[in-house]
Parts: sequence; C-alpha cells; structure tokens
Amino acid sequence: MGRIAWEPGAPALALRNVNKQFGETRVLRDVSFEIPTGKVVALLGENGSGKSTIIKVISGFYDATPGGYVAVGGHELAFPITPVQGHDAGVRFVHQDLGLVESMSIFDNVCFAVGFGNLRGGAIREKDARVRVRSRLERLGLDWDLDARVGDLSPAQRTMLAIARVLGDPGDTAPRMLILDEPTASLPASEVEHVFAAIERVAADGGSVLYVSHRIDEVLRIADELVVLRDGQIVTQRSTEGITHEEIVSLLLGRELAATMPQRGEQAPSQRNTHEPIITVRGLTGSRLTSLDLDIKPGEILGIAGLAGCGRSELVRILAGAQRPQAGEMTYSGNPYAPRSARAAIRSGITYVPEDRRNHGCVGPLSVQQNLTLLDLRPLGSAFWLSKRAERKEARRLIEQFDIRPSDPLRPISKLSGGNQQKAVLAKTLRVTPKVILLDEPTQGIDIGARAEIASLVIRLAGEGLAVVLASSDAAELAALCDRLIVLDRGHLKTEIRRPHISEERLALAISGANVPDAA
Amino acid sequence: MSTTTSSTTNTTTIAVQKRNPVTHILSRYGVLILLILLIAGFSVWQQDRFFTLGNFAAILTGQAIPLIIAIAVIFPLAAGEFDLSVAANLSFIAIWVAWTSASGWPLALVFVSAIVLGALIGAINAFFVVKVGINAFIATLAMSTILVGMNLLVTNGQLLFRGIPAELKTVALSNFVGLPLIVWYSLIICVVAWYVLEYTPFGRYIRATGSGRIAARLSGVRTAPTLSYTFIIAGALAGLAGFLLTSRIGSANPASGPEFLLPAYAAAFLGATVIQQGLFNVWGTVIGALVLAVGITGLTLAGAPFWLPYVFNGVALLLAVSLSVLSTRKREGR
Repeated sequence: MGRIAWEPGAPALALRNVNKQFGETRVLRDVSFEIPTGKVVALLGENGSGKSTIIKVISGFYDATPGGYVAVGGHELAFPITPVQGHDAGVRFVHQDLGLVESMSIFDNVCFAVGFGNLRGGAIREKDARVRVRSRLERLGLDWDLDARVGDLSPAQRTMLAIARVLGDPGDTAPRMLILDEPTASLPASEVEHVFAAIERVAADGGSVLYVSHRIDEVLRIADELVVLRDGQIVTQRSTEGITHEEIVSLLLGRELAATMPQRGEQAPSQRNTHEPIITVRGLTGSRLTSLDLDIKPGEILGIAGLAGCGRSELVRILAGAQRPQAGEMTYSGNPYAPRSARAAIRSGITYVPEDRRNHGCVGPLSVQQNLTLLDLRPLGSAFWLSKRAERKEARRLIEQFDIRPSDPLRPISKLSGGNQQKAVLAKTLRVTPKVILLDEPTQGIDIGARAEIASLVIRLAGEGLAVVLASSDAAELAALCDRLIVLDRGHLKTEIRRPHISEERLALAISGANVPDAA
Repeated sequence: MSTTTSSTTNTTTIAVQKRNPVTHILSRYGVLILLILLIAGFSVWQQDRFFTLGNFAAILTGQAIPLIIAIAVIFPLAAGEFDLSVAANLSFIAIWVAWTSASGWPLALVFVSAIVLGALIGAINAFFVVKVGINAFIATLAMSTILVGMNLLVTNGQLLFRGIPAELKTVALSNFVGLPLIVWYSLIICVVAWYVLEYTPFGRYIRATGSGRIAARLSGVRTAPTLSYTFIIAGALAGLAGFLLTSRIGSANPASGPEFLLPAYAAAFLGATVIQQGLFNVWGTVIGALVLAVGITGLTLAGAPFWLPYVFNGVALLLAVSLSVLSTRKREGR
C-alpha cells in the first residue's frame, strides 16, 4: 500500500468546483470546501442535499463532472477518481454500509482491511496478526474475542469495529483523512462517547476527520467546524463556536423553525391511562428477552429503550409476528395472540415498520405504487384481476396524504430518499387501518424535515386511538414522543418511566445502567 | 438470491434520464431492434431460402416448444430462483406421453396426466426448495439428473416410437390459419402467462417475492406458497411442452432434453433487457426466443456447422446478461 506524504501546510482535504449531474438533475453545484489538518469538520445536510454524493465522489464510486478539483494533503486526485488513489493518499472511509462480512470473525474482518501482515511461506502468522488486530481494537477501547462472528455483534459493535479497523495501528503516524458517514446512526448514547474519544485522538495525532451526520447535538459536541450543504450547494463553512442548535437547523432547512420536533407533552392528555390494554404480554422469552411482562394500551405511545442488544427489536419483531417467541403468552383484544407470520399479525390489525428500511421495509425494485398497496391487494380488484388504475389512484391518494416526494407513483422506491421511503412504508402500513403500529427506529438516518413529519404523524395516530410502540435508540425522540417508556437491559425490563417524569437525561441515565427509580 | 439483474421496474419513470436518446432507445429496445436487423440481414443474404413464408412458419413451429419452456422458467426466475429441471421434466413427460399413448390411453387422459405429472415434479422441487430450504440451483439440478436416469431406465436407452397413435400428431400439427396448432398453443400460453404476471395479485406476489423476499414477507405476502406455485407452474408447463413435443415429432428420445435448457434461459435473460427492463417478462422473452431462433436458422441456412447452435446460444446468453448489467449500471449513473 503506497502512502503519499502530504504537502506541509496543505489542507487534509480540499474540494473546489465539484459538480455532479444525474441526467438533467444537478446534484452537486460548485461544491468547494477545505478541511484543515488535525481538525474535525462536520458535513451537515438534509437527505437529498448531496452529502452522500460528495462522499461517493471522493471515494470514486461516482464520477464527478470533469473540471472539478479534489485534493488530499495537497495532492490532487486525478479524475476519474479511483478508490486506490484515495487510499494511497491516506483517505479512510467508514460508510453507512460498514462493509463487514457477517459470516466471518472479527479477526478476519479486520485483516481484510488491514492485511494479514508478513506471511511465513505464504501462510498467515497467527500470533503476530492477532497482536496487531488486538492493538487496533484496544485503540478504541474494545476488548473482544477476536474469533467472535461479526454477525453476532450488535449494530453498535459493528460500527465500532469498522472504525477501529481503519484507525490504524497505535504507532502509525502517517497522516489520515478519516471520513465517517453517519457513524453513530445506530449507536446508543453511551457508546457514542467511545467513538468521540477515538475521533478526538485521531485529531490530536494530526489526523483529520470529516464527520457526516444528521445529529446536530453530536456535531456541536465533536466538530471544530461545520459545513452545511443544501440542495447541492455549500451554504456555509464556519467554526462551531457560538452557533446554536436552532441556527444550524434553519441553515439546513433554509427557513426558521420555531421548534425542531413536535412534542407529545404539548398535546392535551386524553384518557390515555384508563383504557384496557389492547395487547398483553406475559412471560415472553426469546433469544434475548427473558420473561417479559408488558401491557400496550390504545391511544398510548409506548417507548422501548435500552442499549444495543437489549432485546428491543426482538420484542417488536415478536409482536409483529416476524419471529416466534420461545415461551410466553400474548393476548390481543382479550383473545390469545400467537401470530404464525407477519401476515397473520397484519390481518389482525397489527402492523410493523422494520428497523432495516431499505431491505425489510421496502421492496426496492418495485415502484412506490406497488409497495404502497402490497399489504392488501383485495380492494383493488379480485383474485384474478389487479386493477392498475385503482392501484394508481390509491397510490396517489397516499402520496398526497403523506407528502411523499417525488410524487410519481411509478418511481422505483429504492430511488427515494430515506425520509420519503419511510413515509411510504408508514403509508403502506396505515393504509390497512391497523389498531396497533410497531415502529423500530423509524427515524434512523432520516433528515430533520421528514423526522418532524413522522413525529407529528405518530402523535396524531395515538390521538386517534392507535396503540403505538416505538423502539428507538434516539433518547431525544423517545423523550419527546412517549407517554410511557420501558427500558430493557439484556432482555429484562429494568425500568418504567411515565410522563411527566420522562426526560432525556433520566432516560439516558436509565439506559446506561444507573438505577433510576420507577416513576409512575 | 434475486436473479433480477436490475433494480428498476420501468424506465419511463426515470424522467430525468434524457441524456442521450439514442443510447436510451438502444438499451431499452435493443433486442427488438436486433431481431429486426437479423431478419432483415438474413433476408437479404439468403433471399430465396430465408425470406419465405414456409421458413417463417418453420421458425415459429420449431420455436414453439422452446418458448413454452422459456415461459416456464420465467415464473421461478421472477420469484428469485432458478429451476434447472424443466428440460429434464420436458423429456421425462415426453417419454411418458409416448408410452401411455402407445399403451392405448385416451388422448385426453394422456394430456391431463402429462400436465399433472409435470406439476408433481414441480411440487417435489418446491418441497425441497421451500420447505426444506435447499438452494434451488442444486435441488433442481439434482432433480434433472434423477429424471434423466429414470428416462433411461424406462426406455432402456431406446427411442420410443412404436405404437404412437397418429391422432396424437394432429394435436400439434393440424393447421389453423396457415400455422400448426402448436404455434397457437404457445401464443395462448404467452398471453395467459403475461396476464397472470402483470394483471393478477398472484403475479404481484411473485414479483415481490423475487424483488425483496424479506420485505415481502414482512408486508404480509405469503412468499413460501407463492414460490412453491412458481415451481409447480414451471413443472406443469414443462409437462405440457413434453406432451406437445411427442405430439409434434411422433416419438420420444430419452437423450433429448438438455438442449432445451440454456436457450430457455438465454431467451428469458434477453427478455429481461427489453420491454420491461430489469424484470423477467413474457413478451421480452418471446422476442428473445425469436432472436435466437432467427439467428440459428439463418446461420444454418447459410450452411453453418452442426455445433453452431450450442455456441450461438451460449454466446447469446453471455451477451444478454452482460447487456442487462451494463444498461443497469448506466441508468444508475455509475
């Protein structure tokens, strides 16, 4: 692996007049910014602003329009940029898709990125290689069994592994331009700090970091400077000194926002706590859950919180019929509830918005229209006839109701931005008028505008009498929306917190393991 | 596991992609244009032999059964799986038809039993792939080997032709509006298959199962039964094709079968680059099958050697899949 020395005094990364077009659409317009060495610079922008495109241009995945200039450490990368060029110049990526092979071990995955070290007659020198891998992990404070299968790690752990393997050996002082794309998207609050500690270390060593994120609070915490992108153009590049959360939001959106997120507490409480539960869970046991008891009430937004691996997603999947429990009983509207498939749950009136929006929420190659109607085709014709006209009409209605953009129902859903995809998934599940809706990380990786829309929607649904279950690692979101929260810890119900005792601090404490007394 | 080679359903939706109308048309209708060029080319080159009604009728007649097999194969493909047993199925049922009709079974019974038996083979495939969970490629490959073995067992390696009633031949070859019935049968099957895939909920479930199986399942699609049905349909169509094969030739050859497999896939993949790019579709497959048939017939008429069809089909399949991949990549702007 060649390593090019950086020009002294040159910025770690410089872009000038970078343009990118897809057909008629200009996705990047004259993008120019610089990242000084040793600094952490955040790149902020809504979905569709062009953030991901910039990353893909730098990594060589997309070819920018000729005429632009991209340089690392003072060395220009010749267009068309190839990944090798960037790598040799010292650029390292941690993408949202971490690039880990789930069926293989931690050791193997790190070695894929890093090399197996010197070989002895063509064979791997296990001991030496292991020492190297271990030291890399320790740089981030990770003490793991190197033979553990990556597929068994939680999303949070996988992210940390992906970062650890590109950070370099402890003694490696070659300059690095580290580009992190939404690294904390699936990390709970306590583990985010580890990542920040590592990032700060990288910067202190003289390395430079480009931190792409939606999370304004994190950006304010970790970044020295921020660059705001809107509609493919750089709106501003400035230090994070003295700027407020609200100011950033208005830069991102281009308009003033009084409040960033709708708050549940502002709504007048209805008879929320007096209803009979619509779902009861007793003694639920799964691969992580152990003997969980729970009531879910109509008109209530119930939050499920906890560290990665606590069993949140498993609980939701079992409720949704996507997974069978090992033990336990559930009832639904008073009757025994043991769905044998997601379909059974849906027919009962329980719908599910999965955590993995792209692979489990949407059928990618199919159009928006086809996705929206997938839960129930019966109203669109008969068993022998599917009326495309009826389907389009229905799709248009939903697109308008949920403000899905672009509004072309025939567009493949994979081409929509994350926020619009999620709105489409929600529209799909709400179309069949469920009584219970289960949301797993519904706003992960989604821009502020769409998040606010989804939050308003969730509040409205609860107001209409639906029971909403919201599993999330976003403490702010949980604190803003939930009437009641349960915190899971390794499969056990640890704490339950009710409004008005819900606050982000209390929640963060409870999740991180502090003993917070039940507040009713 | 999805075998669709592109991630878009309909290129008319990519309104922004007006970059170059020529490449757009080429990539979307390329195969159709190729067909027209081939017909034109051979007609000029081999005027007397190629550009005759008799020749076109012969092409359509000869292409009827391969087309039915190609349609058979589209169903599991659209659901995301390969079925490699269709050709052996075809051959096995062809033997069955020869034997039962020679044994005096009424024709109607022979016909029904052919389809039922074919469907049964499809059901066994479905059992292993869906219920047990074996990789479809392996399961159907194994099934095809078993069927070939059974063919040889039953016929002792001999061609079956004794005692096959003459009226069987009429089923396939009686003329109707200038073309043998077999051509019309294949057309009807195309229309029905097209309707099922495009205009029924079942067709939608097939596409969902093939395009995003987990998301489909979580959306309430019964992916397991849907997948099973596609194998059964493929088997039933292969059985029908077997019946028609014996009917058309008047004999059944235990060694025949393999030569139908790859052309079917070549036609299906060629078809996925045209009409509905990125999705296996009926009319695209028809065009694909015709391209192959025209190509081979034209070259044969020009005096090409006996081994040419194999090479031609293989090259066509490689080209078809390559074009498909390249056109997807271009569309996604990479």
